Amino acid sequence: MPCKNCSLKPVYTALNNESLCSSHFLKYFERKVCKTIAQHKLIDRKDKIAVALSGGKDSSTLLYVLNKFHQKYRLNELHAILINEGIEGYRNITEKDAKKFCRELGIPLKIVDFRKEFKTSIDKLKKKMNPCSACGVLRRYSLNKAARDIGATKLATGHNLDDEAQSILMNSIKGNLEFSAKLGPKTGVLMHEKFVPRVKPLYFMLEKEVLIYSKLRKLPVTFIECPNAGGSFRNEVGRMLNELESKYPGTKQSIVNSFLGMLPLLREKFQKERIRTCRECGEPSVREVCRACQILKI
Amino acid sequence: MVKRFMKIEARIERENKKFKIDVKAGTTAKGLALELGLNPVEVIPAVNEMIVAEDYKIKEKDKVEFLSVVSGG
Repeated sequence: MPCKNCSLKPVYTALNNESLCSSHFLKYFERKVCKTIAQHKLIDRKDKIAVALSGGKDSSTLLYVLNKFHQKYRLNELHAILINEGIEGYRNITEKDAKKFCRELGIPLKIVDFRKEFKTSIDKLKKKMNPCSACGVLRRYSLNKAARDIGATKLATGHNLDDEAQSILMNSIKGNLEFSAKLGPKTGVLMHEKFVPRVKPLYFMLEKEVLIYSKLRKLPVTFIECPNAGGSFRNEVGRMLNELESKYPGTKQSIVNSFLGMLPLLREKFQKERIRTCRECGEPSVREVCRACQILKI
Repeated sequence: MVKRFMKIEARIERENKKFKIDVKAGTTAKGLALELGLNPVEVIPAVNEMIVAEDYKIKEKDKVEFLSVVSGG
């Protein structure tokens, strides 16, 4: 079936069975991201945006699209932050891509290296604990701190529809509904003065769509997977979701849409908890001592 | 005479596997993914280095590659 807008060969068939050629797919993608930003009020012109850049396809696509919007709509400043967690054979490769990409786009890049910042690395921590848990906590901690240091008013991450559907399902399976209250396209708005609100402009884009976009735009991305991700719970849930999506197309979208319907209730129930200040590092925390400080003591 | 089978070259990016295979005339990219045991949701087909839609009908001597939709982690 040719592209629905012209007669060119399609590169993608959307969930509604409409086929799109390369140039109409790129337009569809950018319009959808723009719509997400507008509908959920993720970014306004005065915002100074920091993009969490890993050098992978999701964050590189996000940076590219936001840079396009930045030029088109004359947004305020755009920065990128890269966290090097110290995972040999992985982050050193994506860091090179990220540096090259930022140079090409003319976007300032701030790099936070766990080995300098915390005097440790995920390669060292994984001998003592689950590397994905440590990485998640320390990455979020470092991103927030780095975003605040450069004066960012929003921290944009490359989370896509697949990531969100996985998180919702993971929290449901583990019975961690309070964690789901922290999901959604925009988080952390009224949490703590030191907390930079996070936004997810790729929230409604399928991971597959992000990959197609990054390939068509020929973004400088090395397609490698974190060596620690293989047997992770997230990967297992991701595979399960893909099986469901294959049998029942639209599953991921439905999970996220249903979740968004419940999100105000979840936030009302779980986000009454006061966010404190960690007595050791002074960063936002739900406990007296934040999780990052606890991990670094192990 | 209409050929019932065609010889093509296939590559699965994730497994870094490249091989020659006979496919039935009229096989789509999605059909080939399923035949190779891949979940079409987890791959993107590219033919002769160009991304194609899942309903692309494979032709004789095509080089079909299945790119992996993986998270960076």
